Amino acid sequence: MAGPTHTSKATAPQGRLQALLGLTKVEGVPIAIVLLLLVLLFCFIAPRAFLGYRLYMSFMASVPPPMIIALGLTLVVVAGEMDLSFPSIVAFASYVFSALFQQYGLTWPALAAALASGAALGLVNGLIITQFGIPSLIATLATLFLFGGLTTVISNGISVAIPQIIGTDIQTVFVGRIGVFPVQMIWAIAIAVLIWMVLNRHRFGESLLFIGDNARVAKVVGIATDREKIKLFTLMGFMSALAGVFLTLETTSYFSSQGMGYLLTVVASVFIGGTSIFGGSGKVIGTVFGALIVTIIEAGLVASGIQGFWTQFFIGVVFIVSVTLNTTIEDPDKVPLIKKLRSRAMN
Amino acid sequence: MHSLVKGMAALALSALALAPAATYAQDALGSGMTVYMQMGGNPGDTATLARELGARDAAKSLGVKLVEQHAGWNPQTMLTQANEALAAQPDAIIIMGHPGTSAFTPFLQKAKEAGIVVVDNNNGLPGTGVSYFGLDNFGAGKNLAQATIDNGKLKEGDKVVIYGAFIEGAPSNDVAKGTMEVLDANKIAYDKVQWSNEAVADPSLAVPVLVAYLQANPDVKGIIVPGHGGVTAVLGKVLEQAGKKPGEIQATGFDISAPAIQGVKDGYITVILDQQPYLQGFFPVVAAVLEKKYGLAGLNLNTGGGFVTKDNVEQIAALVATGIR
Repeated sequence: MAGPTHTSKATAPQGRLQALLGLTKVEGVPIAIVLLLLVLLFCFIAPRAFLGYRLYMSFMASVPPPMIIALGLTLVVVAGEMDLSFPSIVAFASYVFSALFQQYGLTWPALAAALASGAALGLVNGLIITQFGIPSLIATLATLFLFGGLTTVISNGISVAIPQIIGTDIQTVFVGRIGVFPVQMIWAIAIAVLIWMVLNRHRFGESLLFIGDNARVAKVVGIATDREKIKLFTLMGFMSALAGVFLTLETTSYFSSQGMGYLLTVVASVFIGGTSIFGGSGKVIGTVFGALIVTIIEAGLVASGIQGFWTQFFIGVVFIVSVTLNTTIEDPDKVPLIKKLRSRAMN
Repeated sequence: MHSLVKGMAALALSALALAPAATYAQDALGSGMTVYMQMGGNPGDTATLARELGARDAAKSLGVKLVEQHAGWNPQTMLTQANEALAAQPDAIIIMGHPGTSAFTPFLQKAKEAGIVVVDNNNGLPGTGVSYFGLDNFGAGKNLAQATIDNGKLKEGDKVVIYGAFIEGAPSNDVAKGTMEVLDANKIAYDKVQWSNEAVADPSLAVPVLVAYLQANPDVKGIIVPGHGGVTAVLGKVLEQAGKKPGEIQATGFDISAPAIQGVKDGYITVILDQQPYLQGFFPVVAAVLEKKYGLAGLNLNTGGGFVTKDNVEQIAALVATGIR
């Protein structure tokens, strides 16, 4: 009788372990665990900042613009492409919006114009890439300068402050507060859900995955790759412009360098989130958590008392640890060092 | 000094504006000259736009062909661009002094051999003898710290945070050094938080970092930003999100812009140091032409224009909207 009882006791924990391991296969769970560990670490070493609510509200107010861009970029990377022009589109749309508001008092039409301008610039990207045959990395690097220069020329380089927008309907709807909670985070999550649906439940997403996996085969099976790419870059331009409007509404100002600081952080958010650099697969939920991690690291280190030059050093350390941890939780065999250690232990 | 400089600029501009255009184009002092000029940051950014406008006004008035270079505040790019300008053999090159005297010495030697006039702006090059137009950055940092102490009635043992550049040769590093010297002399404790390249390009990214710092250090009585107009401009947002009331914490910074002016009006930003970059654009072009044409050299002008506070903010706001201030 003892034998079977012992076996059933041994299998219950094993079953729970299997269930837990199975959970790590769910999209976004490994990177969510990394974020949770990071927050717990900072709660331990910087409790004053991380056990209060204000810092989280600050994150929720500042993360949405780069997160929205990163969601768009996830689709671009899924298709095996890259877009480096988004900072200039952010600036262009920000200028269009703030200038129309400042000069004519327009709010919703200014939003429409800003989004349309972003989509138009994205369309230009798509046309250059598909019609001139220039790789997207190079083409969008060129348009980063082209659109940026255009923005400076049109704005004459002048910053625009629009404090009068505070309290307007558009400001309340997009970046108001529910209690102390920034509304823009709700928008960002809604957009993330939409992008997840597009990638995983819509024909357009399916086409992007196919193109990213093998563009030549995608063409052979009847996917209009050029048309899909033009749609993709137009959508990316639209989302960059939307992020620009969110940023302008939150900061109530426009600078000519607006968006430029997002270049590396947005790209990092996508790859920390686990989207493959080679295309053909993407993790929208991973990008959401990736954007949060990128934002939290510097603030956490500064709150922890790490100052001066050490901040940059530790940002690098935390980046590497986060990505490695994410991969390890997802599949330990994807990390060569752990794979070697495991095989040695088994032998 | 401030009034004198403004007077000189106004006089020069109005005299040139009154001159008959046709005659003027023929007789312009710098007619036929080509001047390369480093503008510092990116086209149109907070500390660059007024310099660009000043340089363009001077070039237009003097009939000079102006070639603008933008280094994104990167000292290495400034050195590279100076040598690129040298290769083009212009009449004069106006540089930014951030890379420092040692780094610029070979370039200055080559320029001298080639007969090309070199003028410096925004950051001094001690010991080189080239004409300089800009702040005494170290002194400006000292003034900023003193203004913070005076406005906040800070006393020995109080603590502030400096959010700035602490890397040798980085723009604003001299300002930070001056700030720290005065804080040390007054026994005011301080933390140094180095800003990231991303926050320099997009100051909204500095907001959660500074909010985190303030939450972790509730005893801090001031934030000093020695040298970045964009970051200075978001200080109001930082204090708001950190749950501080206007005036509760001294928030002082550098370089005026429309959003920074708004911060002063709202009461969050207490002091902004104004370096009048328009003058740093206008006068170097004039000096380059005068040195090339008449050999008039060794000029040195401190363009510091004092502080913007709630007492004088309304007067300056109108000029900020045009980009001149």
